[in-house]
Amino acid sequence: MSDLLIHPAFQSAVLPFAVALCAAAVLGFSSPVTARYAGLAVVAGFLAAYVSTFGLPPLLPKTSGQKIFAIAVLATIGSLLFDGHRTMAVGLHLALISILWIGWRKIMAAPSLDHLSALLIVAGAAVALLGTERDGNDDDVDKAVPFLIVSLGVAGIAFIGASTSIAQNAGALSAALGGLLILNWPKRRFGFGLLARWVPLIVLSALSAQIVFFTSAPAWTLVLLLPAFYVERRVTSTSALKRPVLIALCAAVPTGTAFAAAWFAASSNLSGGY
Amino acid sequence: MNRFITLFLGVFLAIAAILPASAADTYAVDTQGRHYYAGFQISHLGFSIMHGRFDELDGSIQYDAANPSASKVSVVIQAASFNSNNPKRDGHLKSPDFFNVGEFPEITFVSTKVEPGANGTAKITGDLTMVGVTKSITLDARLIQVGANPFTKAATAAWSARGTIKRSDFDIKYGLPAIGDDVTLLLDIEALKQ
Repeated sequence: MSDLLIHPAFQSAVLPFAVALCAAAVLGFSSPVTARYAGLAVVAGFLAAYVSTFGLPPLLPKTSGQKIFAIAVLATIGSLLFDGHRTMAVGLHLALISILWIGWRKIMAAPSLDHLSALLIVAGAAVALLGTERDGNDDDVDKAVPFLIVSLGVAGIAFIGASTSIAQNAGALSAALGGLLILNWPKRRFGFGLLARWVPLIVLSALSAQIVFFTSAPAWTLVLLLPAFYVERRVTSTSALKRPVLIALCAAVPTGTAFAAAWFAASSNLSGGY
Repeated sequence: MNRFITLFLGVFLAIAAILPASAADTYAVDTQGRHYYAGFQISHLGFSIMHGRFDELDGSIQYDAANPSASKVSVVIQAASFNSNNPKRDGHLKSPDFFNVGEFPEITFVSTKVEPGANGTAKITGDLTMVGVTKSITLDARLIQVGANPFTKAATAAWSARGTIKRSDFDIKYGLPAIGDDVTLLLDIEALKQ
């Protein structure tokens, strides 16, 4: 049993999925008021996986990995504060702050490629935000689907970049989103508010910053993930059964492309299997 | 003239008498000859003992032979020079999962107390800083030899130190408990008198 609890697949897939599923069920089916905050289930699943894998971080985090926990919590608070007030600029600022917090040691070191990298990640977050926020429908559950798929892509690229911990965090985020989404499929039951989009966006921005600044992954392949945030508006089906599946399949194309590019770019330096 | 020389010597001896004796000799790690080893041992999944080493380090030792407790040690290790004879594993251990070399490029040890023992041994307590965490640790050290290098004639000294830490104390928790928590540290240094 103890071997199972420390297995990466349990920590970053089964546990966040199960926790998010249970939390979403409790929040979603209790009352219309709590259902509005069902997106908290994503945070619960993600943080449960984090604690299971790394333990509780110190109150004042020192490493970028420890900051991920704090960023998830702060993104949650920000999303709750601004829920109902559609302000993309706030979401982008939160992503920017998290990116700078993760990479400030590298950014402050000297003018270098790291500055350009930071700008590109911020630009990527902006592109993702525009792709998922533009039409003003805050409760469209399908908007969370690209985040589920892109998180898997980030996990794959992080793994190629020799960081299993970043890969596990991204995988946990995907699984937690899955736990929430599965309760809305094939029947849409409750909306997400900002929580289910901003928290994944900000956490993915921070994880991407970790990949760019501190791993040997071919960071440019992260750019190839961005079209995934735009497929949702291209899917014309309105069927509650088909639409999320079609969005996931369409988002999987750029995600698979990004992963394949990272794989071939780093094929001589893959970290797995030692 | 003789009176002048006598006066000069008298003044010199008087000054020498009131000044404290030269306390310690400063030695610098022989980085050019790479006569050093900084490594560790850790349990791999409960099976083998995995050995890793750092190929780049620098440091200095202020060695006071007359009063060893006044000696001081300072070592800086370049974390990115980690080498475990497996490039894939090296990449993983340099990543944020373990040594996080992109974020914390240096591992440092600065002694705070030296307690001499018998036969050239000593317990060296100092601050080990790794991945942003500083903890006091104690190393069991041994002076191997002090003297002139038989080939270069350079004044040389060598020490060997061993210690044990828990990596979780430094917030390196990834892979626990499958990959061991107890880490044996090994530090062997040959240093040249400055």
